[in-house]
Amino acid sequence: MTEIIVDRVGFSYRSRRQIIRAVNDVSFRAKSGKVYALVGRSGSGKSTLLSLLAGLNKPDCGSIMINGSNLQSMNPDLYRRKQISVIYQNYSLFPLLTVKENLLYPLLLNKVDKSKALLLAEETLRSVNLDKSVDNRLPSTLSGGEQQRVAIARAIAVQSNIILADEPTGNLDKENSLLIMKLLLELAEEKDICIILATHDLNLAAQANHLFQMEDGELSEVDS
Amino acid sequence: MKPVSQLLRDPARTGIACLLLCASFCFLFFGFGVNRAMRDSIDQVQRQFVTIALPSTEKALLPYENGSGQKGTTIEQVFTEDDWVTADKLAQDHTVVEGVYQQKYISAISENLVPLVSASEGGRYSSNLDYPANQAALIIAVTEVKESQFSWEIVGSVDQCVSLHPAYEIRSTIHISLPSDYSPLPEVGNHYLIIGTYRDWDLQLRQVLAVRLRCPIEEISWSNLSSDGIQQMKEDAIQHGYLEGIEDIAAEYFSESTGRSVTLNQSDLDKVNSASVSLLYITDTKTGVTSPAITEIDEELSTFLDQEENLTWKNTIESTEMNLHCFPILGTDRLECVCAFNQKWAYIVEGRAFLQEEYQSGTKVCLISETLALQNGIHLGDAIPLSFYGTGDPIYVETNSGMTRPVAQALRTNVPPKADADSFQVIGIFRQADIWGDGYYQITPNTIIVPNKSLPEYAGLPRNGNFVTFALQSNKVQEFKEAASALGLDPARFVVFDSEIEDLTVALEDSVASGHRLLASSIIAWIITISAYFLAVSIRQRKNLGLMRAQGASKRDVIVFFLITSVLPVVFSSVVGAILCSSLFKFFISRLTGAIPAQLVAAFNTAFAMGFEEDGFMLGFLSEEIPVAVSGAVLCSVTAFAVSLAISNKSPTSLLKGD
Repeated sequence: MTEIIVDRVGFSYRSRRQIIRAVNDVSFRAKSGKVYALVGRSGSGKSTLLSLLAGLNKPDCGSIMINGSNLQSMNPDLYRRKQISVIYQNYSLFPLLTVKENLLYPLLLNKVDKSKALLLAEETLRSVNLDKSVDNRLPSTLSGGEQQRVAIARAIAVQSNIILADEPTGNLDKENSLLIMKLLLELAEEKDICIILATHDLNLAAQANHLFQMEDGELSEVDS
Repeated sequence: MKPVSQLLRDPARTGIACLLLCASFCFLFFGFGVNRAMRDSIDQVQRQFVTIALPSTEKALLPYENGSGQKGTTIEQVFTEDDWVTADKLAQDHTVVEGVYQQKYISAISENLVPLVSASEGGRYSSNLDYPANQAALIIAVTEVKESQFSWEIVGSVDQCVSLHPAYEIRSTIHISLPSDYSPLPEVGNHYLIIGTYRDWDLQLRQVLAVRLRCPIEEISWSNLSSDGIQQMKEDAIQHGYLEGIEDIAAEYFSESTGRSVTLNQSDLDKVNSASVSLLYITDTKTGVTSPAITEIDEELSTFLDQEENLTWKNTIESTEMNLHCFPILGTDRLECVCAFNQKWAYIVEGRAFLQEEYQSGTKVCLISETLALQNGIHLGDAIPLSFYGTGDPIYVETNSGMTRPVAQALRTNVPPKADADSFQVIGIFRQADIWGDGYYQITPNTIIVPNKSLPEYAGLPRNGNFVTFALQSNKVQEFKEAASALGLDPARFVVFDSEIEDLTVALEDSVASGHRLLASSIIAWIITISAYFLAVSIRQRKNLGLMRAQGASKRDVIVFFLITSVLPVVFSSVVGAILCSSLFKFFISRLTGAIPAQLVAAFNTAFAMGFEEDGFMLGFLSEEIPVAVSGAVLCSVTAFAVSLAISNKSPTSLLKGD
């Protein structure tokens, strides 16, 4: 059982000339087994909030509790390795690693036995409906949908409790977008994973269990 | 994710990067190599083109007064002991004198070698130059004994040649002189053993005739001598009043090829088919009596020598035979300061000169003359045994130009005990412009040159002629003379040999400047290439590293990954670049030497040859390139580490976004 509690978190981007308040006093809760969608226009702070949840940035104020532990007191590398997986809009696969090797990387980082890791990688790739023929291909030879499924498979393989997806269907067509969304929903339910995804596609967001609206850095829940 | 496999998975990019890095390293090493070679060339030039000053070997008739007030004149060297005291002060002045080099002298026996003699048909025969190989032991039958004003003249024919240099002809008539009070005189018809200095009168006369008739010596034939017209010639001369010397004319030689003729007197005719032997004076070890080396012999020589009372004769013959294997040895610490080499009267045509380490360690290596090598079938790399003997005072051959040409000391009745011969390897063969030429500071073709430290401690340190060389600072001839004058030493006591160093100074400076410019260009090009490479690598790797961080890789993982993927191509390219530079270097040498003045080319090529051919360019200049390589490796590693640290400190988000 995973529980995320975000309490009055704020974050600003600081440059020489200006300070941009990207996340402003955001509070919400999320639990495993559910898909939470963040909607909002570009620049509303969705990705920033996700980066705070992923431990990629530190909030200026407030706290983020993951299963009762303050995220700020955790080892960020360990947190990213074991508890959380991130799916990006541009897939973010290693271009010079094969599909299988992309899945193996985080597993080996987690010191999973290599033979076990290989088996797990193959199983995970089949579970996202990717054919065996893609295993030894480079990501650049796959379609967008296939690449995103590889990214999702990578997130699944690690068996993390939380998956953050930042515009996972942003570069996909409608058909693939629906496929990905379906995958995520199944994943959340079957594997009891807490999935938080950011999207500007309302149709997709509507399929989530919970819907939040992000505007000018402020979060509000929308009745789904 | 293995860094090496990541590099190999993008062969095009990795290959291009390596190519550019390789080229920059190649250029960098080339710049350092050329710069180093330029500096070595300058050292070579300054070693080869040394201005030297040598104490004059000239002699003069100087007055003297002994302790009892008796006055007189004596022939002494103009460079006196007092001059040496002043010269020693001058040697301490390093502003005009770069260094003072003492050449050592000793004699050596090499039983496998036979020295050269000047007694060749086409040469310039002088018995003195052949000393001590001009010693002979003969058994003659006396044919005539005649009294002259101050001595007895003995004429004989050769019965048996006991010891004579193989290049000498055995003439049919031998002339010897004995003091007027010598007793008992040799008797006509008896046989005598004689030992002394052999002089080929016949060869001397033919060489004189060849010069006067301006024809080759091979054309001189005694069958062309004629006394037919002499009587008429004398009558004509008397008739015309030309009386001086006319009575002495005994024959005329006419050359058909040149149409010239020369008249000869009786003493000239006596030299035809003749030789003289100037008898040694030997001291009988038993009686202590010193007398000319002539003794009657009426038995087999071996029987004669086996007799105990003839032990002195046996030793003297043994010494005479051993003189045919004696050589003068010249030790030096700097070949370029030996006058003959400084002035290119002698120059190395095969092999090389001594290396600095050979001078310092006294390695047993030597230089021999080309003519000596040819006569004895010696080649580069051969080892020749040398048994040293003698004292340090050199024996000089007196020539027309004065005391010069050190030769080996002659053995008399004292063949040195056979010590273990030192083996000297021939590392260079030198040619002399005129092997029997007359002049100051020459060396004979029998001279064997070795590093000073390879000689025994008792080798002599003569302070005259060829043996002490003042090497001057470049272009300081006038200053040297002024410094000598200021100390009260007449500068004329020195003979100065300038070696064009003044003309080379400008060319040297231009060459050095070119070397510096090349080096600066190569360093700048290398820095630009390395900087561009690391910039490109860091930009390319940012996203990958961000992804690694996003997936939980630690900063250490990121740093190590970046270090390996960025530094490995640099290391690989530096090695390949160095090898490529080494291979291409020879290709460039000929182009480089085209821009260098002719006088510098030899020095330039010597420097490059020593750096390249001996050990290969890499090894030859290794002392220069290792610091370069290490500095480059350290710089690249530090840069790579700094970049990787900077990257790992950035947030994964910014890396993924490419910020």
